[in-house]
Amino acid sequence: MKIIPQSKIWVGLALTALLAAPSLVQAADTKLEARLIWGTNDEKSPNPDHKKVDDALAKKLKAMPFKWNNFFEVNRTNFTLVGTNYTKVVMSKQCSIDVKDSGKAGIKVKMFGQGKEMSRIEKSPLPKGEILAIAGDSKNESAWLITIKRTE
Amino acid sequence: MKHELELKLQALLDGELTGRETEEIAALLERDAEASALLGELRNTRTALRGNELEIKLPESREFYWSKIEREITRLEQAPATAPASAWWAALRRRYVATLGTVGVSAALMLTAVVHFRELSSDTFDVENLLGETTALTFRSEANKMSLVWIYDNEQPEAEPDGEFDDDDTIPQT
Amino acid sequence: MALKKDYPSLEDMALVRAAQRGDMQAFEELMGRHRDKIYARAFSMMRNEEDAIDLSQEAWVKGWQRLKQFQGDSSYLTWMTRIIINLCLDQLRKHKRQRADSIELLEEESGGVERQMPVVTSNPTERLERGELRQRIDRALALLSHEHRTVLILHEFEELEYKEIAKRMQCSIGTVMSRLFYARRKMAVLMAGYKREELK
Repeated sequence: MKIIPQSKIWVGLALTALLAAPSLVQAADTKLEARLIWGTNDEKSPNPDHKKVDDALAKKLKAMPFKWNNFFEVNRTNFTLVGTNYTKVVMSKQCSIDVKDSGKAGIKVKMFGQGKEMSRIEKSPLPKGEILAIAGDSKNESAWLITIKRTE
Repeated sequence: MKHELELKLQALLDGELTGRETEEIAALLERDAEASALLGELRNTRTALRGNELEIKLPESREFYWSKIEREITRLEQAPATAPASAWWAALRRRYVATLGTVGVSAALMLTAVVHFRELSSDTFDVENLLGETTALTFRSEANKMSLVWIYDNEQPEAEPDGEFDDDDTIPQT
Repeated sequence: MALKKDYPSLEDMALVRAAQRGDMQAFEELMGRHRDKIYARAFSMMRNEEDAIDLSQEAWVKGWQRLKQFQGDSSYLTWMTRIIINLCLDQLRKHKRQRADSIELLEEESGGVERQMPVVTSNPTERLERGELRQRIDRALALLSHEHRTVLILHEFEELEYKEIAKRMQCSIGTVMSRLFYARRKMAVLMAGYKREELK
C-alpha cells in the first residue's frame, strides 16, 4: 500500500477546507442592509432626524439618471436572510419589502405599498457591496428610494 | 384490528389485492362491523378526493413566466461545452486531488459542487409589476454597481399643495 | 410568403411536432395552455408559491430539452406532469435532509397513531357544494406532512398504483400503504372537524 506523506495530507485537508468555503458561504445566511431614502432638491429635510446619506452612496445615487441632488436617509435596517423563506422588512408605516435568497447568489424582493403588493423583483447575482435600488415618485417633485445592499 | 388487516381493507378499496386476499377480506367484512365501518370511512374519503382537487392558477403573468423559461433555455443552449473556469478547476483537481485518496475524493466532490454552482448562476434582473396602474423601468450602472427599478404611475396625479414631508408620506404612489 | 401560424388553434401534438423542429413559439403555446396545471401540481406538493414557480419553470425547461424523447404514448400534459412530480420529489428529498422528521411522520412510521382516530361513520362531505368541498380538501391537505400529502396526491389525483408510487418516492410498497392509510384517516378526521365547525 502506498504511504501518503503527512505533509501532503495536511495540504489536502487545508485545500478541502478552503475549497469548501465558497460552497459553505453559498449555504450561509445572506446579510443585507436596506435603507429608505428621500430624494429631493430641497437642501434640508423637514424632519430634522433625517440626515443626508453618506458621500459614497450620494455619489452613486447622483450618477444615476435622477433629477435630485440631495438624498436623506429616513430609515435603515440590517437584516439576515435565513434559508429559503422571505424576511419581512418594514421600511415605513406604509411601505415594506419581503426579501429572500434567490438561490443564485442574489435576492428576490416583493415590494408592498399601502398594504398592496406592487412589484416582484429579482436581482441575481447581487455580490457584496452591490446595491439594488427601487424608487418612485413622492409628493412635491421628490422621490422615495429603497436601497438594498449586500453587506456579507 | 391488526394494522395489517387495515391495510388490506384499504388495498381492497384500491383494487390492489390478489384474488385470494379479496375473498379473505370479503369474509372478514361480513362478520366484523368495525372493519366495515373503517372501509366505509376510507371509501368516503377516496370518493371525496377523486376529481375534487382545488384548481389553482399560476400567480404570474404568462409573459413574465415565459420570459424566465425562455431565458434559461437560451442560456443553456448557448453555454460552451467546457467553460474556462471548469478547466482551471479540473487542472487544480488533477494536481492536488489525485494523490490524496479519500481526502481527495471529498475535495473533488466539493470542487464539483462549487463549479456546478458557478455554471448554474446567471445574471437575472427581472421585474414584474402587479398593479395595472404602474409601470417599471430598469437601469443598471456597472461602474457604480447599482441596479435601479423605477416604478411610476401610468397616469401621474396632479401635484399636491406644499406640505411637510414625513415618514408616512414616503410611500410608493399607486 | 410563409403563412403566420395560428398556434392557439393547433392541437397539442401539432405544437409538439413543431417544437421538436425547434419552433419555440409552438412550445410557448404549449406552456401557455398547460402552465396552470403544471404549476398547480407543483404547488399542491410543495405548498410554497415560490418553490412551485421555480420548479414548474424548471420543468418547462426540461420539457424543452427532452422534447425529442416525447413519442406521444401519453398526452403532453401527462408527460409534463411526470416531469414536475419528479422535480418536486427531488426537492422534497433535499428538504427532508435539511429538516427534522415531523413528529407526525415518526409516530406514523412507528405505528399506531391512526388507532387514536375514531372511525368517522357519517360522510362529512355529503351535501357539500363542489367549490366548498374542494376548499375543505385543500385546507386539510395543507395540514398533512409532505410525505403523507405526496402519497395522497399521487394516488388520488394522479391515480398511480402503489407500485408506481413506491418507485417514484423511493420507498417500499408497505410504506406507501401505511402513509396512504394514515393520510386518508387524517383527512377524514379533519373533514369531520370542518363539518362540526360549520354546524356550530
